[in-house]
Amino acid sequence: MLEASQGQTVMMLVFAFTIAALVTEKYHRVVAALLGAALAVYFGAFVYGLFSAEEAVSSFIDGPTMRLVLGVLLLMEGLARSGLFQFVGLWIVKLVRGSAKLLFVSFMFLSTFLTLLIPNLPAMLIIGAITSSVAKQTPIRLRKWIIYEAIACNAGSIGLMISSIPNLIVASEFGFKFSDFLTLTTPLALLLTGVTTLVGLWTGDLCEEGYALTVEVDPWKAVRSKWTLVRSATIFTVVVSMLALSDKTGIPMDIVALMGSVAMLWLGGAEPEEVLRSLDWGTFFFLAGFYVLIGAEERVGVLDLLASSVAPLYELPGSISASATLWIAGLASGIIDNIPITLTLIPIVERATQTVGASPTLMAWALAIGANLGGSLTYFASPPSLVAVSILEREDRDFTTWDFMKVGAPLTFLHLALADVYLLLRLTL
Amino acid sequence: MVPSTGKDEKSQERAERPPKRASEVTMDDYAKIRDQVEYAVKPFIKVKVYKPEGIEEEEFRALEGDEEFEKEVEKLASEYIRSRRK
Repeated sequence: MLEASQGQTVMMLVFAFTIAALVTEKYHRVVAALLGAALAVYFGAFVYGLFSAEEAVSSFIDGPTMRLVLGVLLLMEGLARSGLFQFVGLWIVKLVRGSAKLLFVSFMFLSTFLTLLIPNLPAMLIIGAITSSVAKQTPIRLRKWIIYEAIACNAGSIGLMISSIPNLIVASEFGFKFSDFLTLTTPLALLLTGVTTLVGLWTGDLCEEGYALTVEVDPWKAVRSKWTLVRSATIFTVVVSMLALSDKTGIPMDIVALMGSVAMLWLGGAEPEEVLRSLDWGTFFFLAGFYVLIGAEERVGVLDLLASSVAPLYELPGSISASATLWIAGLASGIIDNIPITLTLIPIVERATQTVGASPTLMAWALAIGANLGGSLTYFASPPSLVAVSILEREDRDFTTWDFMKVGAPLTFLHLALADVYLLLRLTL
Repeated sequence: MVPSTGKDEKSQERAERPPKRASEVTMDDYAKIRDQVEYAVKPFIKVKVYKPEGIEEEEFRALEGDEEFEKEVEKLASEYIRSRRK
C-alpha cells in the first residue's frame, strides 16, 4: 500500500471532517460541502501548492454534469408545477374508488412513476399530499400508505437516467445512455415496486374497516390551467425523447436538458420566478462543493491511497466485487446522502478496477443502484423518507420514526438482495 | 410584554425542531400541494377569524384543527347561505 505524505494526511483530515459533518448534520449539507471545498483549496493550493486555486474551480467541477443537473432540475420543477401529477393521482382515485387494495397498488406504482420523471422530493410531496387528502375522507391507514410510498419512491429513483442525481453523475462519468437505464434499471424499479406492493398487501392493515370513497372527486380542480398542463407535458415528452436520442442526434445531453429547461421556463406556463425560487439550489451547490473537494482529493493522491486499499476486492470475480460495491453503496447511503457516496466511490472504483484490469461498467451500475436503494434504510437517508416522516408527524400524532425504520430497513435489505441477483443475471450471464 | 415577531417564532420553532427532518420550506410546499389536492377532493375556503372579546387566547387558538368546531362552522356556512337565498 502507498504511504501518505504530510499534504495528503491533511487533505485526508479535511475529507474526514466533511464526511463527519455530513453524517452528524452539525452543519447544513451545503455548508459542510462548501466548507470542505474551501479547506481543500486552502490547504491544497495555498499551503502545500499541490494544485492551483483556478484549477480547482475550472477543472475539478464537472461542467457537463452540472449543466445536465441544472437543466433536468429546471425542467422537472416546471413539470411538477403544472399539476399534471396531482391530476393523474386524483383521476386514479376517481377510477378505482371502492377498493382499498386497488388504490394501494395504483398509488405504489404512481409513486414509482413520479420518481422516474421528477425528483424524488416533489414526487413524495405530491403522492403524500394526495394520500393524506384521501385519508381525510376515508378510513385508510395513512401511516402504512405513506411509508410504503416513500419506499416505492426510493425504488423508482433507480429507474431512469433523470430519476436521481447519482444516476446523472454515473451516466455522465461512464457514458451511459438514456436507453441503457430504460432497458436495465426501469424493469428493476418496477420489479422492486411490485415486490414491495405485494409485501404491503400481504401484511394487510390497509384501512380501518369497510372501505368506501363516498366523496366525488374532480381531478381538474387540482389543475391551474389545462393549457399549461398540456404545454408542460409536451415540452417534457419532447426533451425526454431528445435525451433518449442524444447519441443519434449528436446533441450532448447537457445541452438538450438546458434547451429543454429554457423551453419550459418560456412556454411551460409556470411563473419563471416561482420555478427559480423553488428550484433545489441546495443540491446544485452541494454538488459543486463536493466536486471541488473530491477533485482536490483525487489530484493530491488521497483517492489513490483509498483505491489501493480496496483494490484486492476488485481482484475477486466480477460478481463478488459488484455485489460488494452494491451493498457498500447501499448501506453507506442509508446513513449519508447518496451524492457524496457516489462522487467518492466513482474515482475509487475506477482506479481500483484499472489497477486490477477489471471492467468498471458492472461496478458503476452496482454503485448507482446501491446508492439509490439505501434511501429506505433509515428515516433520514433520502428526501422521500424524510418527507414521509415529516408528513406523518404532522398528520398522525402516534407516529414515531421507529415505525418507519421497522418497515424500511427490512425492505431495503430485500431490495438490495433482489437488485444484486438481478444485476448479476443481466450483466454477467 | 413585547409581542413576538414572526421571525422570532420561526427561529424558536427551528430550535425546537428535532434534527433530520424535511425542511420548513419543503413542508410549506407540502401544505400548498395538499390544499390544492384537498380542494379537488372536497372544496373549502379559508377564513380569518379574530379573537372575540373575553376569550382566552390559548382557548381561542385551540380551535385551529378542532374538528368539532370545523363541523359547526360548516353548519353555520350552510345555514347562512340558505338564509341568504330566501
